[in-house]
Amino acid sequence: MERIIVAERLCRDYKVAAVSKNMIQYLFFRKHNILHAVKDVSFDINKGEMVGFVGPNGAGKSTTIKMLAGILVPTGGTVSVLGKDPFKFRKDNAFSVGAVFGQRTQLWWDLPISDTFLLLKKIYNIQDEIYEKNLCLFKKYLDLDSIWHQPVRQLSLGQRMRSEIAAAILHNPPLLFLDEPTIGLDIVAKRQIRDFIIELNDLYHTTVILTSHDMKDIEEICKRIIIIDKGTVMIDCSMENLQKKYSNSVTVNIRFAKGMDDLHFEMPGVHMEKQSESNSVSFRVDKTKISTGHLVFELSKYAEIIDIDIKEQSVEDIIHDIYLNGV
Amino acid sequence: MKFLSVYLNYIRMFIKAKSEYRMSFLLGIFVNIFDNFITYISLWVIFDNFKVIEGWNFYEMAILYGLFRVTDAFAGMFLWYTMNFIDEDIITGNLDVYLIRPMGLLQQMVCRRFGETYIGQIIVVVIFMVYSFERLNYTIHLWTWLYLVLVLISGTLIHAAALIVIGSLNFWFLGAKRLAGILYNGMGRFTQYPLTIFPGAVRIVLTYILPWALINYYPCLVILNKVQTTEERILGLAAPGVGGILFGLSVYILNKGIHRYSGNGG
Repeated sequence: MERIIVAERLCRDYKVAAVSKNMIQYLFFRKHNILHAVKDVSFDINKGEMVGFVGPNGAGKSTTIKMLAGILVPTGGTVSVLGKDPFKFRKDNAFSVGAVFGQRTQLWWDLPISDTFLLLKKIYNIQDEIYEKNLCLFKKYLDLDSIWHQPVRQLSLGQRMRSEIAAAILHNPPLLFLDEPTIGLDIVAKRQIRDFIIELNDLYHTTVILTSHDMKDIEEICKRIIIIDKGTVMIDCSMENLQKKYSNSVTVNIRFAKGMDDLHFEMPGVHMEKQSESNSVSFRVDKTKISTGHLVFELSKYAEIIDIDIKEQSVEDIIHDIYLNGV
Repeated sequence: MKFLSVYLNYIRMFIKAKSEYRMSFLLGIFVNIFDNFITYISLWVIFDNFKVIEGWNFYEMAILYGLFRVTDAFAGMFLWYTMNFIDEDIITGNLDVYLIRPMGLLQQMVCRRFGETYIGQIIVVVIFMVYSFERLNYTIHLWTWLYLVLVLISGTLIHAAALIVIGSLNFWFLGAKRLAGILYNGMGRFTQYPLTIFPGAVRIVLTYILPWALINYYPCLVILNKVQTTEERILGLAAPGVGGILFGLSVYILNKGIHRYSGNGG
């Protein structure tokens, strides 16, 4: 596998003015604190991988992406993108990187996207065939046909974001950074963008690094997840492993043959929740303390069991637990 | 060459975008014409009373002032609207978008916004300059043409350098553009008149520290045959070269600033 990104012990500090109650002191003799936004972050990313960067607000995701994009210089450690230092070779890097920062725009506000795309074609020296081919792709998957001649200011957020993504990959970059591309979008627009990213990876083998607070995005698109908190990598594993390794509870729904309103059941590691239907009861089971099989065996002593439904914890719940309690 | 083609494309798009707001486009140019016209009128009023100031008549003064204003307009057309508002890009983080493009920041700044309002300034100044040369019965030799072209380029580069340096200072402390007030409204006023009417200190500052006088005063001495001292001759002949040096210096400072941005995250 070709390694497209190698980050070793990346650090990034910010100098932040320390707040002082004394205004005179704050104005003239300001003290600074060092904030470690990213510390000792290491990872490799292979060509064609789709990686989700996940972490609470202020965890250091965007800072890391900016270092990969050559916008910020690391204060420590090394990073190489396609074999080169992204900051020193920023212009070279720009040809092989596409980026969407969900909160910023690279489209020309008063003009239709067709015009912005023509400018980008010039800037990136995009050949005619590639340009035409990509436009066909965009029109097919991103539905840009209908908004092709409308000024950007008239577009809805969803239409604009689809255009932003198209603009970022017009020059066929092997590497794509998406920083919250689905923020504020409705379900239809979100799904369209997810499908397109997956399609893009199929077609061009594009490496995608995605940050999002919507775990659905991560679940559907990414094969690998990197969870960052307080500037360090907490978890770096495949999506499958995340569920296997870090999910420590399951929900077991059991339907009994008779009504169980008077059931009093206590067991360490099991939390019972009665349902509106009197003969069905759900149990949250801590897998580290008790097995599901054992629970079912114990319950079968009370009444005949008709149906069992086991639900794994959702990715969102797993990550929520990790944010709260750590690994 | 590639840059030129990108730039022309940007201008085409700019005009297309602006034509959506046609009134604002035309009004901007009209106001600019009006402003510059008024300045010339006020100059004319003064000369109607005094006839000659320090041996300079109205037409010579119109050329002196014109040289400053026309180079200011050229530089402004390329850079004013982006460089003067670079602090907003730094605060909002929009600068990031430029840094992921395969073009230098300065080139993108030139492309991004064409300073169309300066067209008005150029029209008025050129009219007054041509008229003044006519009234002076001035015959322009070939070498004067050449000198004039070089001085125009150099002056444009000095103005551009000033815009770039002030813009770049925002990387160190935001709000640096207030300094532009000193340069344009404060010291800039002096450039309307021959330098000799001011005290020595002002002359030294405008020649060697904030070299506004190298844009128009010394070149005018050469063009209008007013050179008296050796110093004036040297400065007059050096003027066409100064722009390139200062421009290079300003680009160096800009790059330092970008480094700092990347180093600090704004």
